[in-house]
Amino acid sequence: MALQILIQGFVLSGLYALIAVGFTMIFSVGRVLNLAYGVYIMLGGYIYYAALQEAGLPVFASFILAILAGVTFGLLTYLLLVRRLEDNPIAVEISTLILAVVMQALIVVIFGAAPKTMWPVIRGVLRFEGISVTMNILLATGVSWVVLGSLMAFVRYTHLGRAIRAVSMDRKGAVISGIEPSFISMVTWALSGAFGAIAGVFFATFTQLDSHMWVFPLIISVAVVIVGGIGSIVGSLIAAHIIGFVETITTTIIAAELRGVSTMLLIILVLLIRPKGLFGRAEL
Amino acid sequence: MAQLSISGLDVFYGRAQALHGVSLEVEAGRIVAVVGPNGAGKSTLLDSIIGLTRRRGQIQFEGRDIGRMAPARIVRLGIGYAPERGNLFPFMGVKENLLVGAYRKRDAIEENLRTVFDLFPRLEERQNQETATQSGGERQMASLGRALMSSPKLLMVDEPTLGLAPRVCLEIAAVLKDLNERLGLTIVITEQNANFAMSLAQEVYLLETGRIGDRRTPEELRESADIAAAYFGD
Repeated sequence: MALQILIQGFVLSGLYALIAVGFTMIFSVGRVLNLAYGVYIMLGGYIYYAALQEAGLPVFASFILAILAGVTFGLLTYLLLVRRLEDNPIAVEISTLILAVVMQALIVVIFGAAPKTMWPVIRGVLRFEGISVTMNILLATGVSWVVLGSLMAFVRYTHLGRAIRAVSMDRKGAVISGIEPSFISMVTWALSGAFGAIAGVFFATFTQLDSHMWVFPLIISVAVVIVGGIGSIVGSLIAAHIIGFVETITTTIIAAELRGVSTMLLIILVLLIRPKGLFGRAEL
Repeated sequence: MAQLSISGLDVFYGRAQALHGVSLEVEAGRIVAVVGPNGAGKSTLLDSIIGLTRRRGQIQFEGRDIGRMAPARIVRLGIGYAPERGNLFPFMGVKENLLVGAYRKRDAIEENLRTVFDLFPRLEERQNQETATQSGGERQMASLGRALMSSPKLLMVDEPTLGLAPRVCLEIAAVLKDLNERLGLTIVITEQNANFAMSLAQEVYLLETGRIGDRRTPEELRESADIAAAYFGD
């Protein structure tokens, strides 16, 4: 059972890290919680489904379409909503939450209320010591590591990536260096939409497509921010693994019905003990 | 014609007016100091030149009206700014901080890094140290260095000596003089410490409660008894 927990824990954590990364980016740069973030995940899943399973496009093209949808929706959220409410995080949070509920209704109107089953991105099951893991979830974990690795390299070694970190650490310092925060925000929201959509495709193949599917990823994302604190991608990565492993251990040892509950209890626990998160940096 | 020329500059924070009709001229290649007590509006003045405030009035740099430009464009035109306390990026290393300063000037990074490291060898020794863990003096150096990475023609430094030990102040002063004499950089500094300002600058403006006086030389200032009493104690 230990090996099973280890494998499932890593796989689930990888997916959670991928789910959360777009959300934590927005929080680090703009200091707002984008409660519409789950919509990018839902949109990624539905667009991929529509392209692949309804329109009959190839997997790769469907993936690209899903990412484009995420980018577009991320940018629109920023340009039409967030930018106009910039100095008021509570207004941003309320309006993004409303946006998520509106999008949920829209999804029902377009695709119907019945859940849909997605084909796995790749088929096959890997068996190892009596434990079976689907190739699809292994691919999700692999994609997660590649995406997060690229993101880390991007923010560390490129001018644009450093500018994103600069804005998140000291806005005035960034502006007097010639950086335009509104442009950096647009880049961040676009990237966030892309990451959400990628995560959405894998999340939907892992569970199923339905109009409520934005809620659970949002809780995971909030948990990663709260457990990890803001400041570093590595911090969120570790947080995603704590959350993933706590959940795997709870569902394997105690009861499968407790999925999600352990995560929420963890949020409350960390808020009580370390409000700035386990790896948070006080100055930020 | 002056390199930087400001006339009738009004700046508001909400409904409170921070600067009242400020006028000021800076010739290319000079060191000019704006001296005034805490809260006089010194930082506001420099913030306004780089485009960070809501401002009204004329600001011209090399004959171009920059009074309504965004900071990114003003930086590109050649104004560098080291604000009070630096506004560095605390969880980046020194070198990364400097590289952010090169955001608008990417074709001279190697050269500019060399210049900065030659001016401040300590920054080169500690180029990977996060600025959050640096001393005040090192941070001031990193902040000046970051401003220099955009190859400015005019460098603005807000209170370069604030909170620094006398020895470090002298080091900073020597570097500013060197930048001015060797590289021909125009320098505008603000100071509470009038003695420091006058030892460095060729021209001095006094700024008080958002209003600016006439341009004077340090000698003229020393001779006028009322000002000497107000700024240099006994």
